[in-house]
Amino acid sequence: MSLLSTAPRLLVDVAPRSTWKSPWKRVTVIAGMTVTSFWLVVLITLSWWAPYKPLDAVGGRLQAPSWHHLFGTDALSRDVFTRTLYGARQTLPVSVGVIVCAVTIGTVLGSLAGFFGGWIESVVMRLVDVTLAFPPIFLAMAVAAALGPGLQNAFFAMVIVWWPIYARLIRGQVQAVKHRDHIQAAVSIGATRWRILRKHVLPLSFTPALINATLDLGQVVILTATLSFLGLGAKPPSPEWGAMITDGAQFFYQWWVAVAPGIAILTVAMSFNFLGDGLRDALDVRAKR
Amino acid sequence: MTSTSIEAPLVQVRDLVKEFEVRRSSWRTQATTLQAVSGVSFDISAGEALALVGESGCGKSTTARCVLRLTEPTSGSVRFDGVELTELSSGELRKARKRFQMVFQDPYTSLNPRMTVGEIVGEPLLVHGANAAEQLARAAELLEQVQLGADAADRYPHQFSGGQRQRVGIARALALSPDLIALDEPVSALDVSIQAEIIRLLQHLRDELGLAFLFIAHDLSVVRHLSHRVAVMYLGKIVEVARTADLYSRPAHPYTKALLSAAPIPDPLIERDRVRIVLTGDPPTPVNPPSGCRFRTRCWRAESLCAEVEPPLIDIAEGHKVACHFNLWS
Repeated sequence: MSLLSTAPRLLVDVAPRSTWKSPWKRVTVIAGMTVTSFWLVVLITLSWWAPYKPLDAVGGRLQAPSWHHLFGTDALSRDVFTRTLYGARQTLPVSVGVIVCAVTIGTVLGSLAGFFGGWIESVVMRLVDVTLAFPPIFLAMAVAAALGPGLQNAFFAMVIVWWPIYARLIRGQVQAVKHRDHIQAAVSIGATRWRILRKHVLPLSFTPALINATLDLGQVVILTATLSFLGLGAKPPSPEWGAMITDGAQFFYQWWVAVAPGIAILTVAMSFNFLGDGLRDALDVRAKR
Repeated sequence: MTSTSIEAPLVQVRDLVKEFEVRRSSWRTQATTLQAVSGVSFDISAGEALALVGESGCGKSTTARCVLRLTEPTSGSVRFDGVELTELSSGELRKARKRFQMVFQDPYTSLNPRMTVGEIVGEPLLVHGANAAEQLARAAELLEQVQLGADAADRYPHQFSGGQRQRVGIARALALSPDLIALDEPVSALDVSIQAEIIRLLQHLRDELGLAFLFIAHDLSVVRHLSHRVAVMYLGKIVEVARTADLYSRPAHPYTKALLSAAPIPDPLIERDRVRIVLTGDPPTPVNPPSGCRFRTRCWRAESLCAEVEPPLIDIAEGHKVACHFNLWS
């Protein structure tokens, strides 16, 4: 009916600002979006236009970059450029999957803990404390080593390391939102607790988790690569960035073998960070109150 | 509105007590209790507006929340139309809530910012089993009733001013056609010019729909226009109850007199002669209230008896009760 009825639902109390804090912020956000979309397009369309197959031996061993092999070839005569692009198919889905699982588990447990309190809160939060007491990389390594190498086990290890961060974040948000008057109002109209949690508490608690998820995506990309680098993630022939760096690390003068996947990790991690930063500026509740 | 109605009052509150645990420090497990409401009793008849006034922190909001069971009272009884609310199970209570609703003080935090005004106003119906079409129709009707206009339904709370938001809050409270609405300082967060509009709206709704009000305020001038009876609270206890006109013309409790003297009179001739009674000091802490009469530490009429014996709330005239050993009529 009114023009204003199309206002987006993802707003807090105030209308959004149309620009970011500084022109530099704009540049980083646009760069983040560009690089992320680049990798997404690569991920989807790769098999139609990739110059070689990632596991095929082509040309000679350890050839320097040239027009035939943009990033040279590795010790087993495979095209590094092709393998680097294919690496996105391993790392990106795993990273996104880890974050989605961690956010889901963290949101469910954290909101139950924050909303109901009592023994649920004690159990969940002690679990969170125990997990967060370890440095994430060591814990992920320990879990991955215990489960045995493989990208799938690395995935589980990372979810185990990451969910408590969201559980704690969401719990804090839920506790803050819980005491707002509109929650009391929902009680007073006779809404069930389940409805109050779903309709009145969670929608207002979720924004920080969303921002954090985008920022964390970059870190998970690095952690995935780290685990693979240490031999706890993807197994050797598969083109995973961390594993490729392990291969390349042996050849000091044939730098391209390790640098190409390194650049891939760098660009992906940075662009996710830029995106998360921009998202925080656009959505942050605290900055606008 | 006759005060001598034969039928039982709509709401009967008896000896309501609410205690909070206050921990002195985080490592010490021993907790002290703070009595926010200590033995409050009052009645509200159908269609009657009772105002609860007092300084901030005197327990008036807590009283209202206990009456609606938004907080669990520590002890005491609240009967609503013959039903003991304090004994209802959570499921029964949710159904019973249809008949008593609340309007909150802060119109900025009492509306969910992610819901449209239509959703907010229609939610009570949805919760109690109405379908989407009924919800939509009733929301439009309610928004008309609070003079916002039906096209407000598609907008979000942040697109409205404080006064308009408070109208949304009132519409939400009206949605289930309740018998009682508790209003927790509904105008104190608003500009003065808007306050009058909201008061007028409430007055109109009360008369048109025959609503009973439990009206919380810290300002006696706001109360005057809206309530049939006034109960004055001090430190968790009711010190005086009377019909509005009686209370304003002949206050019996020193505290009431002091409160009234603080309110400016909108008539320059009378205002010129107004004598302000300025109470010294702050109200004592409810963790450790004074012995005997709780007001004695700030009262200019206090004598030794006041420290020893707590004055009971007794009738001094038809429908006029006061808790004071040396009330202003004696």
